[in-house]
Amino acid sequence: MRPYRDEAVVLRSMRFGEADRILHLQTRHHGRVSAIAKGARRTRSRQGARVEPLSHVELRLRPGSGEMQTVNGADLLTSFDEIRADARRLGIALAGAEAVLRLFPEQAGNERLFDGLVRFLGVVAAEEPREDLALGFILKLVALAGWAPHLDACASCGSAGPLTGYSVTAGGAVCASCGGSSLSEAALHALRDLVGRPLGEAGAPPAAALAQVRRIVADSVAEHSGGSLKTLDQARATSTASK
Amino acid sequence: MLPPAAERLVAELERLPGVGRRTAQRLAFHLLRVPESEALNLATAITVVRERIGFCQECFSLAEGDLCTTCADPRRDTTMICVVETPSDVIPIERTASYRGRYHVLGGALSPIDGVDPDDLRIAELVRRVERGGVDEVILATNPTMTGEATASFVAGLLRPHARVTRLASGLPVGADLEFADEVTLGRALAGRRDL
Ligand SMILES: [Zn+2]
Ligand SMILES: [Zn+2]
Repeated sequence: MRPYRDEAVVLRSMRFGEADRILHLQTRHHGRVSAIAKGARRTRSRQGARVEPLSHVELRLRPGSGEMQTVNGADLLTSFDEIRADARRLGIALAGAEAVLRLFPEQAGNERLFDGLVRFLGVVAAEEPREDLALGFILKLVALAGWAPHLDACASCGSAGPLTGYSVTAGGAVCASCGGSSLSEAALHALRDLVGRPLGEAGAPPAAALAQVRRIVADSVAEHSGGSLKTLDQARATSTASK
Repeated sequence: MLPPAAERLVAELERLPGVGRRTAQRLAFHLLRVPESEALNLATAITVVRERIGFCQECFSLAEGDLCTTCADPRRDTTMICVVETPSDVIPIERTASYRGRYHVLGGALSPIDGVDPDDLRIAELVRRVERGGVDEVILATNPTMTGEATASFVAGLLRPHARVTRLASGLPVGADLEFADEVTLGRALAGRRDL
């Protein structure tokens, strides 16, 4: 196969061999790609600094015989170094990156996903780092993956409500007779805001509602990707600490 | 193709970092060609190193016995601790010959996505060392990578009440041309500029 160019965001980077790195990339046109960046850990490598996790880059990639591709060149579009320099921003951005890793493993281009990811990183780099940025982004990812939460009528029986619970298996808010885990009025409002409004424009939910939203986000990702998010606790701990 | 015993040696050598199949075969043939005593010296060295070398009880560098050579050396400055990710990171800092303090090896870097949490590193041990007193400065020399920076800022938050905490500067390699610098490193060098 021939080398090609694509835009990518580095979701994850692992040490490999003597001085290489293996990158898990979300690309604009080829979806998820794993690639090896040879020599990226050497101090004289210019590539190393450009392919740190969360960097937005344009890569020259060469497909190999197997799944693993090779990074032949990297141009930096946005480093997002300000995210890595701030533990609170980093915790939030990594939770978003992990959700992309879990929910979108396909090797197919997805421009809405890619543009959303870059926009998310831009917001995390620029705005006050708050946990609900990560939660809102992950809810949008769940919706983009085809499981948009039903928040206007009971997701189970269709009744108009009142909606007092949330059921991940039913895919949204549910009425009292359909059960679900408890969902306050404020949490329902926060969910609607986070799903419906542009990233970063929803108001910060009160702490109790935030806790319910956090649990719903964690359960939704676990339900649809078969694994739980490891970074969500970190996003919560760092965005509330050291303020 | 090879007799089973030779094949096993090749397989073991191939597991070493940076050694591929062909190099492993070359090394195996070499070991079969040299005098037996020479080949067995290597085997003995491996056995002895695994028997005798463990972690320093103070700083978790490699040590033969309870303490590493740095912690056992009374001429080293005990008021400074340089924190690194792995035992091999001590070597380049020692080579600078400009550091006379002691070390602390964390055993890795924080990475929640890979399941490496604070409890998996020797962070609590570092905090205890500093809390014991007598330490004026802790230099965080974790790698300038995402995980290294995250580890440095986490550790700094725990140590700041007890000691001055510093971080290795990021900058340009000495002797290099500016035009070859990558933008991230150059950006950090600009941010960390100093008065002359
Ligand atoms: Zn119902
Ligand atoms: Zn020691």
